Amino acid sequence: MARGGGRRRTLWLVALGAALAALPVAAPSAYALTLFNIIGLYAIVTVGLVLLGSSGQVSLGQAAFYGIGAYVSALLAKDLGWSTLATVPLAIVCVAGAAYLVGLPTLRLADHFFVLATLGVGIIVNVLMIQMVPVTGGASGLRDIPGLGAWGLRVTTDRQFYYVVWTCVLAAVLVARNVTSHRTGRALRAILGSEVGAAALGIDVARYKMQVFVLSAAYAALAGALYAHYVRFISPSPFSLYASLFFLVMAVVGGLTNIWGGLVGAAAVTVLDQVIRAEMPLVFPRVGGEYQTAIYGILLIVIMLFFPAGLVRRALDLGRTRREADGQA
Amino acid sequence: MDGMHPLEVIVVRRLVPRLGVVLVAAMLTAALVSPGTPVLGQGAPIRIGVVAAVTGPASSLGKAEKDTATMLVPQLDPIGGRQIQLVVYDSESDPTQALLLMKKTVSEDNVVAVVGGTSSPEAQAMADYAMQAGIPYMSLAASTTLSVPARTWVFQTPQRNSIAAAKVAGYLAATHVRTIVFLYRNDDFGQDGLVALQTYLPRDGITIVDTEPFEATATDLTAQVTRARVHTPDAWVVWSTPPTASTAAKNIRQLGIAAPIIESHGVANQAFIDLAGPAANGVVFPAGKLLVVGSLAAADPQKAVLQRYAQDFNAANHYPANTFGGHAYDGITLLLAAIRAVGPDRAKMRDYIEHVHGFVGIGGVFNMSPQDHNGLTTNDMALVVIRDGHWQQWK
Amino acid sequence: MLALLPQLVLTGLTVGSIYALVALGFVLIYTVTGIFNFAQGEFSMLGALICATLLATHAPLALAALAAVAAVAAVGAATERLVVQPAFGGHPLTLIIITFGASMVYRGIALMVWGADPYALPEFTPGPPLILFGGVLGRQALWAIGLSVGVVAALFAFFTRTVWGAALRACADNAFASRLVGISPRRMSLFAFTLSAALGALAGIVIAPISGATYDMGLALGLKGFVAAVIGGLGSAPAAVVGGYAVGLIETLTTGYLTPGYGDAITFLVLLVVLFLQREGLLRGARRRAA
Repeated sequence: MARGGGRRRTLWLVALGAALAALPVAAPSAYALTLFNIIGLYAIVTVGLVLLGSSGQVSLGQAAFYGIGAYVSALLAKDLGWSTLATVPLAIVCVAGAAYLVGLPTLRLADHFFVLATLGVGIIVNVLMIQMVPVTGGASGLRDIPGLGAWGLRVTTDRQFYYVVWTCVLAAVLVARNVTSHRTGRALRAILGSEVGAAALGIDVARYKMQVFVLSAAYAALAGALYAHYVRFISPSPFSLYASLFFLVMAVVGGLTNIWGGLVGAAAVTVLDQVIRAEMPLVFPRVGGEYQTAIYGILLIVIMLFFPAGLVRRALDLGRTRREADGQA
Repeated sequence: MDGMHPLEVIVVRRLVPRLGVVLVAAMLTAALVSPGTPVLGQGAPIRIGVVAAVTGPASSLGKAEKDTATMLVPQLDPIGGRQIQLVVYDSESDPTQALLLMKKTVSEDNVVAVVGGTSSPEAQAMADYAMQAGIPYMSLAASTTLSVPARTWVFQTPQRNSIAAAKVAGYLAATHVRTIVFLYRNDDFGQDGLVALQTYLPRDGITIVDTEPFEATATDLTAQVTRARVHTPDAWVVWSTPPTASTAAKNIRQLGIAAPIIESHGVANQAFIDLAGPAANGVVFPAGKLLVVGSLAAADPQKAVLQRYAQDFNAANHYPANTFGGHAYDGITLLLAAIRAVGPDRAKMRDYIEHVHGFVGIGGVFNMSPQDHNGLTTNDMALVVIRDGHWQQWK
Repeated sequence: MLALLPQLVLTGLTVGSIYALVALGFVLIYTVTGIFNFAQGEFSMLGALICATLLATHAPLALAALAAVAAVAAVGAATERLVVQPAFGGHPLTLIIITFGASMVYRGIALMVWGADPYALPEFTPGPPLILFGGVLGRQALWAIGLSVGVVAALFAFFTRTVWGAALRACADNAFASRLVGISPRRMSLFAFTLSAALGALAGIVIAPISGATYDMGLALGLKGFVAAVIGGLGSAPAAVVGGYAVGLIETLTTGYLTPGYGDAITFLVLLVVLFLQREGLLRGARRRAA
């Protein structure tokens, strides 16, 4: 990479960082800050999905990891009284471990069936959240979850949380970029192109696939734990199949082009939803949620028809090459 | 890229991701620049926020709540020379959205109070924020924990699940039932009902011999009924809303079980009868008095209000009113009464509502107190029995 | 304990036949176009609700049902033309999200038109339920089982005896080769969608008298049908039907014998096990694609 390019990139990053830092000052309303915070949380999950996508895997079960991260951190902090400085990392480690166990059998499956397996895992986890009432509070959820805090400092306002979340987002993006740019990245791209080919080149396909799978689950867990300590009330409903689908939509709309696509996708989809609502809030009779669902669906279709770009496109071309190589038309 | 025109390459690879960023930036700006929020001063409208689950699993309740708000709009007379506006949002039965929209309505629309939270998870999230922001919040969910213990800014307009359960327990005791089977929908409504019944039934010496949960999307409940019938209960209690509430009744009768069926306040609508067919006859359930308004004594303080609500709702929305919409009606009218009495000041409105007595609403006659932010008792519910497809009061 | 078995099996077969019809729709589209149609469940929902509306105009049941099926078939065709065709040949992920978007549109429109409350449909032949082998079977349930068997038989005849059926099968087997003999994959795609929509509508009309018709009934139906299709192997129509009955029976038996709340979890656990053990599903249909 030419040195000029590297310097320009750093400049871009610094500019972005400054803009993000200044945002709470420019738009201090509780609504805007909450919106950015939620976008930040979703962005972490979506970047994880993009990371997973870079090895050709698609997961419809991210909400499960998101949810387990939330419940574990919430329960440890609420019932055992541990500091969130400990519970959040612990939650991430737990989920990473769970992802490893889930990944062992599922990563061996072919693409389509891997998606279905993650779908199944997501639903099973959601059912467990509803059923294990003594532990999770069941469908009524967990209340009075402590907020983030350590050593006497507490994160109480939307603005404070904003800085925490977006620092995590930037860290997540940087780690992801690191993973995808060097040797690991080349290995992943080779796997994306053809698993058989990559294995022939001596790449440990299973190990790399597991790495990104566990990492993407860890991202989701981080976001989930932060969510729990932000909203301070969780229930099984935000961790359903529908949520997993939306994470996927965010990732694909962002284009899966590169890691930043995850961020763009999360922001675009969330803001789209809010903008649709903003145009029909007030007192117009008969207009309400029904129209929003339909319009949202139409917009999704339009976006996918006109912007199926990025990694999806590249994967298509590579995919076509791969299928041709395997003797199909 | 096989088959891609060079121009396409430029458009797809370069332009589109950049367009995406620009698009997002534009949308973000648009979302933030709210349509001219007026500074609240003389003559500026007074706003009340309504966040209901118009879509999503709780939509059969939330839609009626939203439609009640739209029904009320032409009836809102200005107070103190200022227009009253209702700002209505759809939370999609999602607690995160509900919270976000509540924050939006508080910080962007500058409402003086919020009505909403159709399902309990939504209401819990909104209640926490109401406490943080110090704004009166009328919650529309029936979970007992919303008003027990009472929290400063949080009020509840539906009859709590515990009141409905107490009513059912009273009926069971009166009809000398000793054992019941409890079939319930596996969500906050059903699980809350289970907890409530487990509290009240032992006091009357009634035992729950079996509990069987089911999904809201279940198409057939014969498996659960078959499992439960081995315990030969005196009565069957079902805690859900249509369609599963009706399916349960149908399946119980189909298997030739003649024991009485008692349902929850979730079946207080025509859909239950339509779906259950002949199985609906003989079913007893607690309900707000809206359902049996015709048979109320003329002296009943609620009669006039109920009749007017049923008429206005039907005229405005072309379908019959139900109690859930009534909860929104109560929330909004309580707030309006407060504004009329003490003006659009959050703290004063809260104090007013907390001490309201004899306020006639759809859910009942409200008598609030610092310890009771629901204000309703079992007297505000009637026991309804279905005979020949019609509702009658059970005596 | 064994006394419960007949009843549970009968119920399992009833719900299983509905899942079988939905699964058939899935498999049809998947084998011909390679698309997972997320809107499959909504076809059932539209069929049920349109039929309910037509019945409210006092039309005879047979006419209302036929008209509803035809209407939904048209919707399926429109979906294919407007939304799938432009993305034809695109990445499966793009198409999945497109059909997901379509399902949202249909749900939103359904909520607008029919509202959130459930609608009742009358049973095809009202009357007391039948007692079979110690279990009770509702008459509508008998219709459900009978219709699904009948539809499979009709489809079998169609696929093996007619030219169109052969063309569909050819396209499913090898799209490239079928183009060589003059079969247009795009036209087959349209046909597959239309037929699947009709199947879905039929499933919805048959189950609605038992469970009611709501604007959001498509979600769960679609998901279960999808699971059934995968368990059957996504390869062929009979596989889908077997998968449907398998899911119905698993669901009912676990609800009856194990703990009810975990019914869904067990069904998906079985799905996972099938995926791990037999990557190609129970009937190894998908292997045809790879071979």
